[in-house]
Amino acid sequence: MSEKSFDQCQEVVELVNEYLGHSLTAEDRAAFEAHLATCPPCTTYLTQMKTVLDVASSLDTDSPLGDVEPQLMALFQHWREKNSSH
Amino acid sequence: MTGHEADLETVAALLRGEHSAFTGLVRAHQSAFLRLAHAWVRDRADAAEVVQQAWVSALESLATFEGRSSLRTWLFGIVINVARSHVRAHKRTVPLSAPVAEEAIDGPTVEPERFFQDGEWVGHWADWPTPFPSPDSGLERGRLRALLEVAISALPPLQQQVMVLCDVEGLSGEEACNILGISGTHQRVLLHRARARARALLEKNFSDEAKTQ
Repeated sequence: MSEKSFDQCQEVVELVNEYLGHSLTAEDRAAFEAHLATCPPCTTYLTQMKTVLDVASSLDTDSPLGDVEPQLMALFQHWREKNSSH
Repeated sequence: MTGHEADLETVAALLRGEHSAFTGLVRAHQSAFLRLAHAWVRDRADAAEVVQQAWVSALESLATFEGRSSLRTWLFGIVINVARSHVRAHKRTVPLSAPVAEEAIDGPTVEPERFFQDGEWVGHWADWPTPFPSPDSGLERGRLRALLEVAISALPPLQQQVMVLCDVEGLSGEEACNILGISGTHQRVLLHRARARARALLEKNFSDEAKTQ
């Protein structure tokens, strides 16, 4: 029986998310990696996607409250007073 | 302390009226709330209004938080509900069914013209992807962050929300499904398309830049 292979880049790019999410079967993963080993543009595509995920995860930073702080604290204070009067 | 215990402690501190607990919560979630709200209302001022209303709703219903989901997931659900109500009340943008139709399209995520359509190299890259700068350098990371912010905010609403929840906020696919009320299959398709579209928008920027150099 011949081993599975992904010959077309067009097919490989649609599997990148499943590859990164570890949801490919062992056979598909091996075929995917075999394709990458000989395909610089698909390797670039995978690296691009890894960069997107890396940078996306760094967007979630604590934000300074700035201008909205007084409004939000007033809102909290109002809720607190309403609550304590019950 | 587990995450669950920390959540219950935060809720208890809020119910005791501790300002620091509220400040901490706002600092941790305000930017994510604004991103999520913006995905629905598509306007910064409206998104700020939605977020403010979401904080009010969260405080009002705080006593009902039972810790069945994380506090973060619970809060995100409130933001989505307030944003949906806001859109409905203001009859803004497009009907709620439209984003689903818009985002349920099948088909390739990379334009077919980027690949050879026939001949010996059919299905192989004809127009190779342009490499991104490495995010390891602080300067480039700052630039990539700014570009990705723009790319994410340009995504269709549901794609944007799934990407914000899963890739920016780090929620699991299952948590995102619960918050948005969509199936696992739909969530995976939306995330796949969102990432591909964000990647394409970044690539366009770097490829245009390369052409002008």
